[in-house]
Formats: sequence, structure tokens, C-alpha cells
Amino acid sequence: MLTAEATISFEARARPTLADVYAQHVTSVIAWAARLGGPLIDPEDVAHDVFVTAARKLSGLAGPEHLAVWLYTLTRNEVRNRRRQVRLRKFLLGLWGRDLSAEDPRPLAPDALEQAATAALVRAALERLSERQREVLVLFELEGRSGAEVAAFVGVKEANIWVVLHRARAALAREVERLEEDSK
Amino acid sequence: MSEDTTAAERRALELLRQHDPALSVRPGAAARVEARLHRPAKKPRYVGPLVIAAIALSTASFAAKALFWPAPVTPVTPRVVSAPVVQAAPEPVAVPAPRGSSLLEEARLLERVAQELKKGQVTEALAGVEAHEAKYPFGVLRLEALGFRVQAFEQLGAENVTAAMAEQWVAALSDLGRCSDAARLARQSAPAQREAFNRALKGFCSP
Repeated sequence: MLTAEATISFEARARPTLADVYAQHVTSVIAWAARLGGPLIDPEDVAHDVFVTAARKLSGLAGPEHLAVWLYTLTRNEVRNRRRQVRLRKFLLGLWGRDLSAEDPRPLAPDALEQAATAALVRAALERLSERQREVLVLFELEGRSGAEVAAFVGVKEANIWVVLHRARAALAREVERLEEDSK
Repeated sequence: MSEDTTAAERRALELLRQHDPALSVRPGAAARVEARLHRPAKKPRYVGPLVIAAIALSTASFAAKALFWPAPVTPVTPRVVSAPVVQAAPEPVAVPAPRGSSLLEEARLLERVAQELKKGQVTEALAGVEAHEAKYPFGVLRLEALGFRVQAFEQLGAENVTAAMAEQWVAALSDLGRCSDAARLARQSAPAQREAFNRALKGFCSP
């Protein structure tokens, strides 16, 4: 329950416009989409759809202080939907004996080849983690957020975050080793 | 938390940080998303399937009629031959050209670019391409504009382009799916430009 003072201060603050939201958060949304989406999902498409949804729902936002968490949730949901579509497409193409490859058909510059191979390996390892593990790794390890922040973004208790993080690190190391063994 | 991690975990995390998937986002992504948000909304997707379904249904009903329903018997009546009536030809109705059509505008802009390239006015041609891209970032003739940009840079010669131009060149070639050409040009460029080329190659032609 908000106190009278808090209510006044909240109402006095200007509700953010879509332009403000876009300017402040577009880079984060694109980065989240790239990190959570995997190689078959275009982060720009995801960001576009996130801001279209944000434009529709911005008036119902509880408070500007929740903006980042809210946008993260929209991004995660959009990525989840697209992952589902990709799985369906893979399944349907599989029925036709075709493969939905993530490979970029463009040839690479020679010096970029090794880098590309390692980047692909890391992405593949990240893909093999569970959604929750991937989220926690991205927010904690790549974005450098605190445990409390990660808990707010993911929507679980902070104590659980440390457990998930511990397992996610172990799983990532295991998958990287396994993929490196396979590629030898 | 870092003291809890094993060596393998630390190495995997280091690799993850070095190859952060967010680094693979192409430069200018925010501007492209913003431009898309300003575009008019597309037609709803269900229109296409509905039209196809309507055509399929009408074709099926027509075929069913032709196959299963007996044709009505019409009495044969003698044809009355009458003098041919000469009808006045209808007045040709002028179809108004669509005004302000973006495709026509695009084509006009790019025709000018092509003429300037023929005359060897590379700077003007590049300005024309820039104008086209600024006005129609998602135009129908976007790839043609990129083609003209590449042609303009080719006329300049790899050794004469500035660092900014090298980046534009590689970006245009990567959009056209010609990263191998971009790599070749990087090798051919003068040492002063080579670093700019290689930087652009990493930005646009690596995953």
C-alpha cells in the first residue's frame, strides 16, 4: 500500500513515453535478445516486437522503476515464443528431410574463421543449457548484475539464484568441453 | 562467488565473455529497429490464406458442378442473322499515374546515380546513394542502391578510399552477401587502409 507522500511523488514523476523507453533501453533489449535467443533468432526482430508490445502496454505499467524488469520480461517472452516457432519449423522440416541450419552462407575472412568457430561453440554450449540457467548466466556473468537484481529480473528468490548459477556454470563448462571433444 | 568455480568453469566463462552473443549484433541495429517502428503496419497475415482458400473453394465448387451436375438441355433455336452494328469505339480512359509512388521515386533517384557513375562523377553518385538510403532505408531498390555504392567505390579504387568509406564498402558488400569480395579488397588495399578494412570485415563479415 502506497503512503500519501509516496503516491504524490510517484504521480509527480512523468510517465515515460515510448521514445524515452526506446532511447534508454533499446541497446539492452537487443543484447538480451541476442544472448537469450540463440543463432536462429534475429535480435532486431525481437526488439521490434518488444517495443510494439511495449507501446500497447506502456500505460498499464505499475511504476517507472520497474521498466527494465518489465522490458526484460517482454523480451524473454518474445524469445520464448520464437524459440517455440523455431522448434516447430525444425520438426516440420525434419518431416521433409530438411535441416534448419543456423550456418551463415556468407564466406568468412580467413582471420575470422577461428574466432567464428569458437563463437559458434560458445553459442552451442549456451543453447544446451536450460532457459533459467541461460538467463542467470547472461544477467550475472555477462551483464554483471547483482544477485538481488538477477532475482528481480528472473522472478525467483535470491537464494535460488545462487543455486541456479552454480549449476549453470558447471553445465556450461561441461558442454564446452563436450563440444570441443566432438570437434576434434 | 568466483572462488567456488573450477578451472574448467572459469575457462568456459572466459570464452563466454569473449564471444558474448551480443557482440555479433550488427552495428546500427537500434537505428534499424527504430526505422521499422516508424514504418506503416503490414497487412494482417490472414488475408493471403483467406484469398487462397476462397479461390480454392470456388475452383472446387466449379469443378464439382462440371463433373457431377448434368448440363441443362437448351433448345436449339435458329440463329437470326442481322446486319452488323458498328459500335463506336469507347473513348480511351487515361489511367492516372500513381503520384508520389515510392518505387518510382526510388527508381528516379537511382537512375540519376547510374548516369553520374557513367560520367565518372563518383562523389555525386555516392551522395545520391546516401540520399536514397536516407529516404528509403527499406526501399524496394535497396539492393540496387548498394550495388551502385559498391560500383562507386570500385571506381575510386581500393587504395583511394578513406577509412569511413572502407567500412561503408564492406558493409554494402556484406549486405549483398559478398564477404569474400570484401576480404579480397581488404588484401588489395593500401597498408594505410588495410586496418580499416580488416576492422570492418570483423564487424560485418564475422558471425
